[in-house]
Amino acid sequence: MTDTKTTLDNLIRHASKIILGKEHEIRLSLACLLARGHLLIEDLPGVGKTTLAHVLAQTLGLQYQRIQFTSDLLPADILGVSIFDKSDSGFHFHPGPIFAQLILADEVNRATPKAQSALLEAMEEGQVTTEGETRPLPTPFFVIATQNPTYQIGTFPLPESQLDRFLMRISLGYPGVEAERALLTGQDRRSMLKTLSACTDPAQLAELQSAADQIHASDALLDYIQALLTFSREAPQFAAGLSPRAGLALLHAAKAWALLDGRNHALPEDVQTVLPHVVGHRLRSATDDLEQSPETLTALMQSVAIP
Amino acid sequence: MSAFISSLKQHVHQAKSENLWLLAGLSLGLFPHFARLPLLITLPSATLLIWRLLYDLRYFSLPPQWLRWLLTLIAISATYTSFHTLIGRQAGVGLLVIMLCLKLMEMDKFRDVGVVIGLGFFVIITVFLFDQSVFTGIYMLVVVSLLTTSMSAFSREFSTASQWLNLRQANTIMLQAVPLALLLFVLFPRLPAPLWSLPSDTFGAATGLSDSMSPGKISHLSNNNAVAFRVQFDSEPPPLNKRYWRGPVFTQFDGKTWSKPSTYQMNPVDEAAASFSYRTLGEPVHYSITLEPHNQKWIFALDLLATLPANSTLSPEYEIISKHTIEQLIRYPMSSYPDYLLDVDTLPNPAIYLQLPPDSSPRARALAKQFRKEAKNDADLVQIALLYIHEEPFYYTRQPPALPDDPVDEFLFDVRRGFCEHYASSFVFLMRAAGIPARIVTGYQGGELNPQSDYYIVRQSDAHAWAEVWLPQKGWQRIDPTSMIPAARIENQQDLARILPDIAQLGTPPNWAKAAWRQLQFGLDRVNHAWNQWVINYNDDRQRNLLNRLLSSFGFGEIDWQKMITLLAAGMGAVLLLIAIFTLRSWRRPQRDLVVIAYTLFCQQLARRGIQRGPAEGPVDFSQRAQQLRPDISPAIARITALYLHLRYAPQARSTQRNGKQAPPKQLRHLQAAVRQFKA
Repeated sequence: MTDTKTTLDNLIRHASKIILGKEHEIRLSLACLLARGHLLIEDLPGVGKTTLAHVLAQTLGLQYQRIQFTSDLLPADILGVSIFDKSDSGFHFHPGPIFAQLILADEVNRATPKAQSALLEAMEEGQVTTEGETRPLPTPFFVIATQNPTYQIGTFPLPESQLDRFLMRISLGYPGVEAERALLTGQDRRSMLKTLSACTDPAQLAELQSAADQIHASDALLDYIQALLTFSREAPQFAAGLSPRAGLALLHAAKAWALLDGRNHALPEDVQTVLPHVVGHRLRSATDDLEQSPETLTALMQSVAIP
Repeated sequence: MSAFISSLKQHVHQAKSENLWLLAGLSLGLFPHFARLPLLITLPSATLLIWRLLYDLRYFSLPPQWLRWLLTLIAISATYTSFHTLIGRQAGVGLLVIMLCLKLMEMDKFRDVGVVIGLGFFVIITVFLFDQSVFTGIYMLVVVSLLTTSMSAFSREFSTASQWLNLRQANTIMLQAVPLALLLFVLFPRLPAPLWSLPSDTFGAATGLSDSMSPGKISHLSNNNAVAFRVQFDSEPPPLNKRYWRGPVFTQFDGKTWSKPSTYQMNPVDEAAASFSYRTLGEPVHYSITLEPHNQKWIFALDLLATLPANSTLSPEYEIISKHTIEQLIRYPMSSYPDYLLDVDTLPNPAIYLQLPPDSSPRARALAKQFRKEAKNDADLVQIALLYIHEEPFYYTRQPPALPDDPVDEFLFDVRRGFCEHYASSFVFLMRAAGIPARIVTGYQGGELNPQSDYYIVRQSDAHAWAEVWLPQKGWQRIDPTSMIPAARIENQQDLARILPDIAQLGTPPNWAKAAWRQLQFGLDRVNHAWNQWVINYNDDRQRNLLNRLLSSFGFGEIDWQKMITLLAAGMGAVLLLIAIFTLRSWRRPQRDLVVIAYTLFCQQLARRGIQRGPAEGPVDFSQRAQQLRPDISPAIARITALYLHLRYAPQARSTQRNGKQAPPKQLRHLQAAVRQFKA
């Protein structure tokens, strides 16, 4: 237990050197990774989404690929394509960028639904089927998708069913005053990235993921999660309640958060910390189509008593 | 309400359901006023309501401030133009209605919503200044429900898609309020006299008999189906020909109008009784009358009354006069002797009853002289006169022609078509001209039994005028000349039924629709009667009687207002407690986990020192907050929280339930000990 805690603290410390003042967000994305979920970052361009993905890949020692989504992106651009080779008169599969351990799907809502679904299918299945042949994706497989705020022009907002594939949705936001000053005066981030050494390898990461699974969730904690789910289903302000998959996501994320905190059991506070990020993109307000504001989610949290 | 106003939302949204609930409630609540108020108020108010509706549906914008000021000035002047005042019931309500509608023009903050809803509830109260019937009560209940629904909708932090939820919440609140309202109604001490009197124009529209009689005065009542009073007989009711309800009596005639002498003096009751000599025959009948307000002082009773209601005097003409104008429904018990002899031996002041205007109606005077020649005595003369009406072609009609010059002569010799007042007036004239003392009595005749209950309804259409003549050795005798008209000369079937019920029954059988309609009317009247008895007329007397009867078995003794207040407080407390128990309901599932019990005790200790744990506040967060607030006991808080977290959330081998089969883990004992020692 202490080793895992040291490893994780070490990871966070390394990452925080490059991404300044965003330790909470780094922890959340790590928790997401430990819970074997995919991450959606919704924010304006230039706040460090790509850098965060890069840093995570580097520190965790994962292969990294970036896919820039555009409106003319085709599924083959993501998955790969077979090309005729004259030398042996046969087709050879050239794997697409999806075949990597950590994918940054940049501006995922700029692509057409067809291209989006190719990515999202891969995320769900952990494998890719092209030209009648199924090829497994590497493990661990972790997607960080970024998205511009949906009200921007030229976007295809992800449908609810596809949003549900992401375990968490976070936003980075602008850095604080001090962090921004340090950013302006400090070294170039890109060159710093190159010097960043890996703290773990994929095998260690798999161990950490199974450690997160082992975190104990007591009856009292499960009661609390169920109370939250029930409230979301009965309260009139939501169009539809949370699905069982959302309940599982909440539990796994809370466990991963407990692991990051160095505990062997999850607490209600863990649930409350991850709740807005796990639930925010899955709930819709009953009256208008706008998604829930963070204040509404806080209100949801405050209406449910901890049993 | 304060929480409602200080809600998080500051501005009212357009086109939200809560606005529509409010507008619906206001429109329904204002509707009874719209039907009553002048068009100068109704039209602008309705326009403003529609304006607001169009604004809420985003078709229109609200007027700018300068226009609102202008509209306010116009509204005030419109009210003043309509009523020539701004105070009083009519003008006050008019101003309230139009100002409420104007307030809608600037309703964009929650403060304004509070004002509008409050005014809406006030408007409901003002409707009862005009009409207190049971149907208005039910109608207004609907309005209260709508306004409460809008309050529920406005106070919601999140708008809800389902409007039934708001309606349900409002009606739940109203249902919870019902026992409280009943308790307040029954137990709140009633005062013998109202604390403040209603504006003087309140009862202006009441109908009924007046203090003079001229042709047309009573016939205009004949189509009025309004209830004059209701009578409940405790003993066998007298037959129809004895059911004459005595009202104002007239002795002075100026050729056109019968009135009371200008020097009319009201005698105190004992003096009045002393100036009469009367003998009663047979058994008295006992009954009680519920008199509708009629804005006069007459109180009606059967001849000849044996008791006087409270706060009333008896006039020399044997009328009962109330000390106060009858502005509210009153109920009084009475006894009367249907058979009696009045002033048998001497007539105190015969000149009054022989007065006639000089030189009027020469033809009638000649007829009277002729009667006098034919008659053996006074009683014979009365019979001859009645026979004259019976045999000559006199008709009974509701639309008598005008008698502009000399009502008596023109009626008796030219027109011969008239109403009871014509007959009574001409008959008394003839008697006086022949030298027999006579007077006109007005009141009501008959009354209709409500077949669904056991009381009689006397309506304004039962208003009647008859004559009394004084005969030697017999005293005052009631003579109803109208009843001498044969059935064939009564134009209207309804009148026939009233005047000659035996003959009317021989006519065509009533069809079933008419019968059903009658039954429905009787049913409604029964509801109204009960409402009047128990709601409108629930005064201090009735309250004391009811409570004494209800509480006598509990050894409460005579009820007084202190006891009522005590009972009221106790009752309200009990009801609120019950509601609280049903709402909270936490007592239903007792906590069985010893860990939770210990931790709850710990939280209670801290709560007593003002550190309250929120229901959704996690134990770690709470511990940090408490430690910051109370650094002195920080280690104890940290220890208890750590033990609690370990026991409740970490993997456990043993159960911590109460009465568990295994011994509880040792940390539980530590926790319990720590909580016991914990002193915040």
